[in-house]
Amino acid sequence: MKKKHVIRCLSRIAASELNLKRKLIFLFLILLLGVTSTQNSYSQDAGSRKKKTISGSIKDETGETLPGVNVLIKGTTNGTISDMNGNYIISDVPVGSVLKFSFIGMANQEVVVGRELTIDVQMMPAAIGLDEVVAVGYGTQKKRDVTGAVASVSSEDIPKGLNKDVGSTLSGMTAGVNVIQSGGADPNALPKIRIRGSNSINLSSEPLYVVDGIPIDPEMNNTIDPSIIERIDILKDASAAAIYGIRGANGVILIKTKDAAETEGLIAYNSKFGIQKLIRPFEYAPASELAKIENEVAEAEGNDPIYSDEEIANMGDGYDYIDETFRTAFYQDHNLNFIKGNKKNQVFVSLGYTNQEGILKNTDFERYTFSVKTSSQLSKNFSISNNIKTAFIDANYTNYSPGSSSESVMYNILQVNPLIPFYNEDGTYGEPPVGVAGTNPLPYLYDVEKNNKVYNVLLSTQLNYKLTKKIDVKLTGSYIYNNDLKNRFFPSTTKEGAIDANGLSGMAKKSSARSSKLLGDFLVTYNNKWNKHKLVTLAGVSAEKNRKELFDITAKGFATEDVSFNNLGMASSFTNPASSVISPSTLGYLARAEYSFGLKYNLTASMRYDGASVLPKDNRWGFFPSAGASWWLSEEGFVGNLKDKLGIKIRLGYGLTGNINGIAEGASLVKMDGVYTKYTFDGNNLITGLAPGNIANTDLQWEKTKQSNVGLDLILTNTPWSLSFDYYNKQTTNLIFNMPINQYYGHKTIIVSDGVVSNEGFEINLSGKIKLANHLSLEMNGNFSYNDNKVDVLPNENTMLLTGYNVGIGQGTIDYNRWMVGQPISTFYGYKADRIIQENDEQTLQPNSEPGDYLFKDLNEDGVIDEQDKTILGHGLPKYRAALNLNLSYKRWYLGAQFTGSFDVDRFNVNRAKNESRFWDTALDRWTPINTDTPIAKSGSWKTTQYGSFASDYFVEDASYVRLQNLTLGYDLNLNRSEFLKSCNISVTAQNLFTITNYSGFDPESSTGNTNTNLGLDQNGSPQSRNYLLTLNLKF
Amino acid sequence: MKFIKKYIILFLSLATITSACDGFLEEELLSTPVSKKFTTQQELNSSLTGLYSSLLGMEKGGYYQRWYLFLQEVPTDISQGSGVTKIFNEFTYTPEESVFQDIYGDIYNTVNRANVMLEKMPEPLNDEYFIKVKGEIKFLRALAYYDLTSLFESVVLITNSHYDPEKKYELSSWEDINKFITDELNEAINLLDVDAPEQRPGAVTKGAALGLLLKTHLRTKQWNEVVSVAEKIRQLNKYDLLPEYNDLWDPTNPLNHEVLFNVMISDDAFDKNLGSANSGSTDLAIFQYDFASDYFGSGKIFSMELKFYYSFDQENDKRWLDVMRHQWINRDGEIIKPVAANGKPQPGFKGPGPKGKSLLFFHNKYPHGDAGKGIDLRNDMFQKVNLPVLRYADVLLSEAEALNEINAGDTESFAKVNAIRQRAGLEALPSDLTQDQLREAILQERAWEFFNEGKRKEDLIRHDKFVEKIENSGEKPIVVDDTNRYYPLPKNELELNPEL
Repeated sequence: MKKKHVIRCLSRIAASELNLKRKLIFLFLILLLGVTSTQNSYSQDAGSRKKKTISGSIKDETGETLPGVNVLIKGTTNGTISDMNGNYIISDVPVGSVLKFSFIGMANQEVVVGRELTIDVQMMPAAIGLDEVVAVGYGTQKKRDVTGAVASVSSEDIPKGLNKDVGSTLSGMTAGVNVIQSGGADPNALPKIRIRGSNSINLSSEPLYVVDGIPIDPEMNNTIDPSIIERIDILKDASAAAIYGIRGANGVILIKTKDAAETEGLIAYNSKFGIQKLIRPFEYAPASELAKIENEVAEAEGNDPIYSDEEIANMGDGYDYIDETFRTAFYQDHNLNFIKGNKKNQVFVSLGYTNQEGILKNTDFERYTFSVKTSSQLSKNFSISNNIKTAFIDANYTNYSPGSSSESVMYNILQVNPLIPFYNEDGTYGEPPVGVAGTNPLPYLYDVEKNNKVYNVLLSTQLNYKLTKKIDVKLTGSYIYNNDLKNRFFPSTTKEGAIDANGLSGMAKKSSARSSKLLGDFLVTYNNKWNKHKLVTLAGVSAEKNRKELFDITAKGFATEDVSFNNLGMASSFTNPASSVISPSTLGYLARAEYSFGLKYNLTASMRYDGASVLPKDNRWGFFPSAGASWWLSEEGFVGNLKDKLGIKIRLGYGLTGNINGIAEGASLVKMDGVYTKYTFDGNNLITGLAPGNIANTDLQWEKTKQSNVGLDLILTNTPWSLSFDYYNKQTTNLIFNMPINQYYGHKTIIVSDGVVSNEGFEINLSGKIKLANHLSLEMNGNFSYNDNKVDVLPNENTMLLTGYNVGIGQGTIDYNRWMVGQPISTFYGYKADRIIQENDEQTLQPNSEPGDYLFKDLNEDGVIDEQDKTILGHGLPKYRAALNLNLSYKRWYLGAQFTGSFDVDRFNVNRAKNESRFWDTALDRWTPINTDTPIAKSGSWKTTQYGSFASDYFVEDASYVRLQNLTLGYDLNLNRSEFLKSCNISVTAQNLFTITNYSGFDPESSTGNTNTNLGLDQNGSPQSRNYLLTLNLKF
Repeated sequence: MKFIKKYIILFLSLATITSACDGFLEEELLSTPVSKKFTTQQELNSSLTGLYSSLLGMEKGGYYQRWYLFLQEVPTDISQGSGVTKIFNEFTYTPEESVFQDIYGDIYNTVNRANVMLEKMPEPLNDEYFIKVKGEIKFLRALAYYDLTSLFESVVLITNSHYDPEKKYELSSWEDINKFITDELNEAINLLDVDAPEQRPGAVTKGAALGLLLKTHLRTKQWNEVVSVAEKIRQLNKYDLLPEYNDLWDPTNPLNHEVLFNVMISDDAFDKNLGSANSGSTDLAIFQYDFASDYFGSGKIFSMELKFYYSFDQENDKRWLDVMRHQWINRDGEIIKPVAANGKPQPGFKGPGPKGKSLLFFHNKYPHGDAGKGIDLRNDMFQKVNLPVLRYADVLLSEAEALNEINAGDTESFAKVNAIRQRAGLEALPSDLTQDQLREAILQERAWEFFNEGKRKEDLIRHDKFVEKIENSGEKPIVVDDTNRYYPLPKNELELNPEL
């Protein structure tokens, strides 16, 4: 009856022309029906079986009693916990049911209840779960059989803390996955993730995110509430990732969210509260002290003092803009999960709410998520599962953009003169006193509204049909809709919105990016086992159609500022309207075979034949094969009884993957552009024209990454200790490059596929557990990785190319990055600072420099400082990365610590370069004619002189660090026999307690440069915060 | 049997999916037009607008938006750069300066847009309108090569749109490019009408093409040709001097009868903030204000030299009286006046700059409509501006110069210079000047007449007085020699093409 109703609804949806909203409501109704039917069928199921009371004692592997073990009748909520003597009693146990014993760090045990009344159990430490199921893309494998480099992170292992996106949760969890914070404590920053280094110069090196089998864009990774993640599997090498073909080159992050399950009903509530406190990035110099220095200099030069004693007395310390603009910020996160299901129908519902205030005032991030997963066994061979995820994000953000934009609040705070008062006496914003230059940063922080709203919906339905015992057919249809709206309003207190000639004011900018993605997968798997052979094969097709629409407009001259950016009709002029649509699609045919012989040998081979519409017609299709093998050496007869003590597995893998993430459409055609094409033929009316926007290249190809991987897994049998080692060698060819060409054809560059980068490295993961004393044990997971990233070949056989990233004033090419053969992609390039030029200095190297400027080293000794004296100064991607996760548990207490660190890495500290000699406390020691023995240049040296704003080794600093990223103390409340509350866990966490580093910038981890090239640039970014959180996990 | 049925279903569904996806990957460019041959007037006009707009460059301050004038004026005896632009005044720049790279690219962009358009013309070309447009395109490409060679002397001559990565591109000589320009202009003159099409009143006309041809003959010192082309311009019966010099700079009247060709700039429909320059805009006006002493200004990228500023006849010359900026009001309401000829502030008045004594001298050729209205001009950088590229005064003075060269003391030559002087309110030149003196007087008249119109550098080069006039034009002697007459090819370009 109900089934019929569901089908009727479905057909109505398909047939009708309803809009999306109404469709969603229908889908929701269907889901609710699913929930009710679950309940009904359960009540029929609950039987009139015989029940009895069971008791017993529980011991650990050494024979000591074990208190606190969870005992549960499987599939019900009936359970108990062993007492201080390790004994338990549980009543109402039906005969034939299964008792499940579980304890942290121990392997679960399940016992079928027969006739006995006493069941004693000896718990064994959890050994490495070789039977654990690992996701490998379009399927799963047992860990034992895995041939590639696949890392798995279970949600239980992720330290509790302020992690509001998927990427952040991975920090420090596994070797080879480098999580780079892009913006300190900015609540709206997403981290950058590099799996085994950066593979590309111009395309994105962000990995592919796949949520429950559905690829999502990396920037959408904050629409997933980390609380609903069950596990994350990361395909690091190409033998694993090649099944994702054209999008696998940067590795794949497979996210599995919590599933519906067979249970009588479980409600879980997880909550986090906390505060974030600014880690103060710098101090301002007392204004009066700076004034005194200026007076002393004037006196030494025989001039009148600049400030009178009275003026100096009035200055005091000046205004502390850090104190004024930053705050202790609040954080809260709530997540309510509900799971219920019987054998046939199961449902999981989750509601999430996250609110992170920014430590910089007027910034925050708020997210509401709703997630439903259902699965139904419709008949013996046919099942259907649905997955709905929605997220609504409402964030107030600010720009931390590098460059000297007045919109960049941090830029203003860094360089503000503390003599500028916050406010005037009449309450208006303070202006610089006479003779003082600078801008008051407050209007841009307090008055400018910058709001980002994201509406995200993911819908997916999967049909599974068991065609025969050995053949499964799976059809998945998914749809993702994402609407990203950015609204900005600049009121009359800002330059942008200043009152115009007509007395109108305010400027609003609206931009909207809407994307929709339709995805269809059709997969057939064939499983067979005979004798010692096991074969799993997979074939399928995956198609994806995208549409992205952008719209932008600026409105100025509002009749009233009351409506902010919400009513553009109030504006008198509109500028820069822009809209665009792109509709890229991809189509891939994939196949994989996994063959195992006994427990010794595993072979995996996969291929994908992938096509992408953005590539030129002749190069549209690519073939991506891979092969992997693993060998359990310890299972061989010739090693004797070794396997009782040690498991040894050797893995070999090779594969080819591609990257098109960032190739613009139509590169093989001459595209006409409307930019820089406006002209007036009468002096009044401006007409928009068209002009060629590019030089076509019909030879363009995807970037190809070849990767080989050699792995070794060592497992101490029947212990939790394991070590794995991986060596990899990756080579990416066909780099998409905007190759500089002579400008004879009106363009500076042509897009080509040329050049090679390579990444070579190794990774070590070590995990285990030591029993320190009775009830006291220490679990540890350490990982270490080494990555050597370098450019092998540049287009057109260049040995060095300019990157186009500049800093400083607009004259000349004051660049700080170069691409150089043999060096990392993120190579800093510039001068070596020698010393500071003194008065009457007879140096002739830099004729236009002034006393107090840096004198650079004449490396080629030709008597003049020029381009040829520049050299390599450092690199932004760490060579070594290490993390140590420790977990000390004593009875119900546990203490977790996560240390992370990077080594052999540099940051270009532009903040310091521009500001240390001006208003920071370091300026007290800056060079003046009377303070000559100092490493700090004269005030304003950075930009006022010809050699001022060059990158030099004085500002490119070693940013190696070790950080206590997370420290958590938790307690499992003893809720013995509580009917209502099944478990309760309380913990307190401190994040970023301390950092050991020589780096003088805000945060050695942060990089405000967001490309592979300018990674390591540190300019105008948000400072870091120290967070203190209280976490509560309840299960009912 | 049942098994077979299942397999059949499986294969059928696979086959369906595979075949249904035929054409699935066809690329659709929904918001990006693709270049193709012209079939309609609209297509032609859109690309033509794009071509004209390239005169304003592809960078902030590109080509005629600012940098072209800057590079033609600052190194000379008329203007100076201060601060970071001082290097152009003192010839201490290097080939690495991004300005060289940018303007080189901007002008080649004009060349390329013209080349692409010529290739997209329908064949055979019958339509009358299309034929005229072809003349406009040829003129604009010739102008681009004129300007390129005027800055860099020798450049690579490109007349097609097909980039060939294998080809070794070589420099064409100054003579070859002048020949190319002359041929192209002669062709354009035949294609163009005397009047611009009605819907595009500021478009290139026969007069414009003749004007550029005259300038090309002038710089190659083909004096007889200069005179004969000037005569042809006069025969068009279209051009004459405006009665008032100051009216030339009225942005509301850019299509006056003195103009042979000008670049027009509208202030419409732009985000007018600094940093968001777009085509159709210029920030030239804003650079006529001094940030430090004038809150409502910004610029100071270039101003005039003190010696030049005070070289005018301050009693009579309207170009001084009407067009020079003699005072302004700073944000504190104080009157600011340029410093006196002795370099000291004028008695009772503050001078420009933070300390009130900077040597900054501005003019009002490219006035800012909102200047002096108490509006922060930095929020309204881009103004309606009329930049004359070729105007009748130049025809007259060029002709005068040629006549004097052909026939020393030619009376017609005096008459033409005096026409210019008369409009400015000056007396006629003494009629007893020698050939050298008249030559010098013409050069001087050109400075007063065309200051900040981007002509001074080539005038000094043509008169072979580049070094002589410049070395003592500033406060301090300037180190300059003949190698400074043209700019070095941009470093990037040399690196990319070591053949040069």
